Amino acid sequence: MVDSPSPSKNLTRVFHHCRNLFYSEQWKMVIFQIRSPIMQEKSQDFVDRLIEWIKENSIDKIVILTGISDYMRNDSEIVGPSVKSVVSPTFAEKCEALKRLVENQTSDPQTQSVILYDASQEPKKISMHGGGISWKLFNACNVGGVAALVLMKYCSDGDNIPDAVKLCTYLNTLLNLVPFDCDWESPPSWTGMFGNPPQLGLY
Amino acid sequence: MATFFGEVVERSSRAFWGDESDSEDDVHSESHKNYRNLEVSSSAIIPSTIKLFLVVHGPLTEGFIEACFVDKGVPIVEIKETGTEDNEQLRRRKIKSSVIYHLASDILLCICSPHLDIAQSFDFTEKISPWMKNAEQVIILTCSHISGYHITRYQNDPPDIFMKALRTNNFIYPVLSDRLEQPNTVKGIPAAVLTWCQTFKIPAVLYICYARNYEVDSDSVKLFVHLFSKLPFKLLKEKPNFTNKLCGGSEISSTLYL
Repeated sequence: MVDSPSPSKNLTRVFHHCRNLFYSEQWKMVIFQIRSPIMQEKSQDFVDRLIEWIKENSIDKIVILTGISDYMRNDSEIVGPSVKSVVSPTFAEKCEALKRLVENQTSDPQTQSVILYDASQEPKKISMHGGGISWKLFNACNVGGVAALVLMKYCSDGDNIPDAVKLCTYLNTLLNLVPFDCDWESPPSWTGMFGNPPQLGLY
Repeated sequence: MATFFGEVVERSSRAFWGDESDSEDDVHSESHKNYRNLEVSSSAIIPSTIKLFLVVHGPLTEGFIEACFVDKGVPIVEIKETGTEDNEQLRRRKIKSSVIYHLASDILLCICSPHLDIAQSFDFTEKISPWMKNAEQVIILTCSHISGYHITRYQNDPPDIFMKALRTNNFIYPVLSDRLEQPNTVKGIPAAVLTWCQTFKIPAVLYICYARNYEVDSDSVKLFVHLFSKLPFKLLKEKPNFTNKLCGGSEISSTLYL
């Protein structure tokens, strides 16, 4: 569980919880932010309830953003892209940018940036080490007939701000939410998140 | 960039699980399912009206209660671990239970066990929720080492001890401390209790005390004493007793060389 003061400039909310739900009327988008990990024993129950809620609200497509362990990359993956996607065929049909990526990429699965998941063929499970519930949720979406895409950024423990920016930029190239040349605005809560400035008492 | 000079700092990681994070094998999780569950003692009494439900978490806050609070009396509820281990094994591990006391005039005090794990936050909050539901207000006291406090600009060294607060939307009573600033967070049991109160619309405030060490003396608890002297509840002793020293929990107690 994690609570913190509101990390955005809008201070009408007194504090933020470990999980927050945001809605954008402009983009017809719901963002579910999970800020603290989910216990393994409860993860399947959590995923089942989430899928149920998704279906009740007739949500068309799901995008799962996650970070996966950088140290698990093998040699061919290291030279490949730092953002990998796993997409269900139903989602790929709805996204022109993804379709083009799938058609133009190499045939070597190790260096592919987009994996078109087919439950009837091997591999039946895509490794998302360090990605929490990402695989469970993606699999549940496939089983439940919900179009889903997982965007995974290889990253290590530490300052992940550049990883977050890269992931956001990649998502934008697929969904075309904002102009490509816009600058992302960092929330005030990122300042000092990964280390305090030196104490003045040192000098 | 090094932010600590010549000090040993415990390694921190945001990784919640080790190699099991990629495992689909729920058999392993089943084997741990009943381990470290919590249960409430059978003689639980739930008063219909509670003026104040006080939740105390952390060695410094527990030390303050022991030294400065009025006599607690006999606990009315015990929340203890249960599971695959029998009572003998639990006693050998010297696991302390969480307890709830009934202080004077509709005030309940819940002291969290130092052995509660962060993974038990939700379970523990559910166990004490029947009392919180009937409370007019909930006050959560917790502490943290000063190295966990994030600052966002060059400023003078923070004082040795200071207090910050977070409250729910509907907390109408005065908040007697500065608001906790970004990007600081509160986690674990205190966060779970505050989140529960926000969700179920129970007025609550959390006070977090940042300190350099958890030694309990008149100086380290002065902020708590000042806080309770401003509240309309007579809970403080005339003469505090600082002779009973409590051991720290699993948090950082010192960042100097061991």
